[in-house]
Amino acid sequence: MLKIKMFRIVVLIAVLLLSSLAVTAQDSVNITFWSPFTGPDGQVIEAMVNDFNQSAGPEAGVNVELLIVPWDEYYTKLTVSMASNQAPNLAISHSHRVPAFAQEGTLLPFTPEALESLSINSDDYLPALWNAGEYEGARYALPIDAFPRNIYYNKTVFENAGLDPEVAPTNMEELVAALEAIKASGGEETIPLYFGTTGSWAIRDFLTLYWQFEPNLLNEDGTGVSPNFHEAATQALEITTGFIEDGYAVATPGDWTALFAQNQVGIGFAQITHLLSLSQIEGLEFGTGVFPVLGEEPATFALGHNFILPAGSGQDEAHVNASLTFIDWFGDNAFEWAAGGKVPATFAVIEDPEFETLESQAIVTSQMDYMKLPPIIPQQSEIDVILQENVEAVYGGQSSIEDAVNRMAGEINNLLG
Amino acid sequence: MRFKPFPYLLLTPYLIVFILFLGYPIIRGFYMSLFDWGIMGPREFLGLGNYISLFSDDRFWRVLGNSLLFTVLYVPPVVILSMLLAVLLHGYLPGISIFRSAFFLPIVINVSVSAIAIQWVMDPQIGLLNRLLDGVGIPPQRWLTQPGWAMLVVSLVVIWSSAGFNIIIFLAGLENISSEIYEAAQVDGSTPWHTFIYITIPLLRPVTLLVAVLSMIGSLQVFGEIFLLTGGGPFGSTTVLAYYLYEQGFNNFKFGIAAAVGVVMTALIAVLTLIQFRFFGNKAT
Repeated sequence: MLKIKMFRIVVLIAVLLLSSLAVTAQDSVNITFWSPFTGPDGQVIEAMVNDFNQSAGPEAGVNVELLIVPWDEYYTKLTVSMASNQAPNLAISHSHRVPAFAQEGTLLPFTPEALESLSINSDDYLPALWNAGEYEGARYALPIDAFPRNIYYNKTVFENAGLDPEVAPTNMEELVAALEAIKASGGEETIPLYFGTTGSWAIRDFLTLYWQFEPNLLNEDGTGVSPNFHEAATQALEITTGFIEDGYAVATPGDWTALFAQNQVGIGFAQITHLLSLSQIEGLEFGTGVFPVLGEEPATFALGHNFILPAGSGQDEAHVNASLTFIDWFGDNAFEWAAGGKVPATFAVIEDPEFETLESQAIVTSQMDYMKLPPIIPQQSEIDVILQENVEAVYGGQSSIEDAVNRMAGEINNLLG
Repeated sequence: MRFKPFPYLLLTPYLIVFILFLGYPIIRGFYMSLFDWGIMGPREFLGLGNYISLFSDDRFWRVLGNSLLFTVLYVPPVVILSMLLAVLLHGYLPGISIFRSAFFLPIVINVSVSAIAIQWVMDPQIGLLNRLLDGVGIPPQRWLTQPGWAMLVVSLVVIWSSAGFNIIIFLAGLENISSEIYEAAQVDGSTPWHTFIYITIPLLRPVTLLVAVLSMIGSLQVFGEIFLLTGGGPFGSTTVLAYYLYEQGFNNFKFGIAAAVGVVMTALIAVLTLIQFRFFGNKAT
């Protein structure tokens, strides 16, 4: 009899437990989150999502399903998912892609109520990053980081050249002196300076130098290039081609990280996203510096990563709120993300004393007042293609600087006019 | 004549797949090309507006020129090379199956994997090819970033990766040539070279036409290698029609123009195929 009673009690407890679990499962909202981060960045984001799913997620009834889609196919897949109404609940986007997505009606705005519920205030964010998430009066993106251009220098190469391995060049005079010393001390295979001559990095280094001469790429109406475009673009290209002519750099350096790791590159114009991967190379001694002022004013090209809410059939109120919960948690834990090699988007992390102990991140972040993002317009991707093709033409010896600059201006004016 | 349903029954599965995955997309593509079409669908009917803006865009003509250049650099070499290798592989030599597998292997390697390997080989500073050339005193070349070289290198990579498929087709064609013809030629004192010129090549003409047409179609649709190796650069010198289509659609979200490019590609392929059949078709049968 006692056994039967015990059995009934056990069954009842089991039923209660199961029903409570069922309630939890029913209340938990699953959101799909697409991230393009791979390599060291991918490991950090995966660890953060796992952390959320094991701590704050269950408490809030939210579970995040992370899907990592590599960069080269990320936007294609995201676009197709949007077109087929199967977009994820939450995704990452570069700042310069946001206006085009917003113009296409593929994004849900972050409403003032949603921002209020997350206690998000524009004053907490770096202004350049915050402004990049807004399109035609609505907010479509929340910045999580920035990655401006900066320099890395090889301490071994510096020491061999008799340079102070703890001091990075900050202006033209110091840079040329360092390059000359590296050139004089290095062998035939040493490349004193690396900068981007092809692909998107060619645009980034070109725009960095352009903005050191002229703060605006476009005119006030946004109908064409800035009145000073020709002059600034010419000066920027004369600096980089001058480095090649003087034997400090090569027009096509190939895989710069491999050469840097082999102590064959002295200084590289690169970005903070490379910090983790460079740090993982055994035996490589390198330092980080701000992008030197080679023009008239300090400026450095930057892009940022943002959270976006793609529109789609899966986006009901519960899922949007669940995404906001994760974004809120991510903001509270943004230090972890920035530590992985990013400039934080919020002052809260930048001013965190612990962040200042991250030497390289702090150095790159010191550029935050003069970081410049590309214009926030839907046509920016097309402008990028125009700039890239013409800058490549100069480095490839296919075009004079004057012709390339004229073509750039003409094609951008045609596009926007 | 009595209607025989059985052959049509056998054709049905293929026709269903064809209509779903080829017929419908072609019609849909043409329909899209008549609209200002964004990610979320049509915005405005433009009629032939997309075609007019496409044909008045200098970049489109440059891209078309690049595509035709690629076709010239790719089709004749791949057809000739595949035929020669197929003839060599047709004999019964010891270990011939190893060679057959080796030549076919590139076609089963994922394009991303081969692109990464090629990039390393072609790297201007640390690449194997420049190192080898350096050994014989040839200065390093910028294989993938110099406009003159880039398209040639891409075409060589595509030849390498696709020759295996063509070799298989040629081998099948060679199997169909009766050995009696070769025996008769031998009896008449024909040299191997004359046998190849006067027997093998003429009898392979239908197969050669097939390989040439398929290669030409493939050349106008090339995308993966260019996307991964050069990204359309340098200076847009390897931006071909398929890459331009991708750029217009997935970079600029101008799916109407992208569809118009697709229609132009289809028309171009159809015209070039018809020309090939007109010139070689009658003799091929």
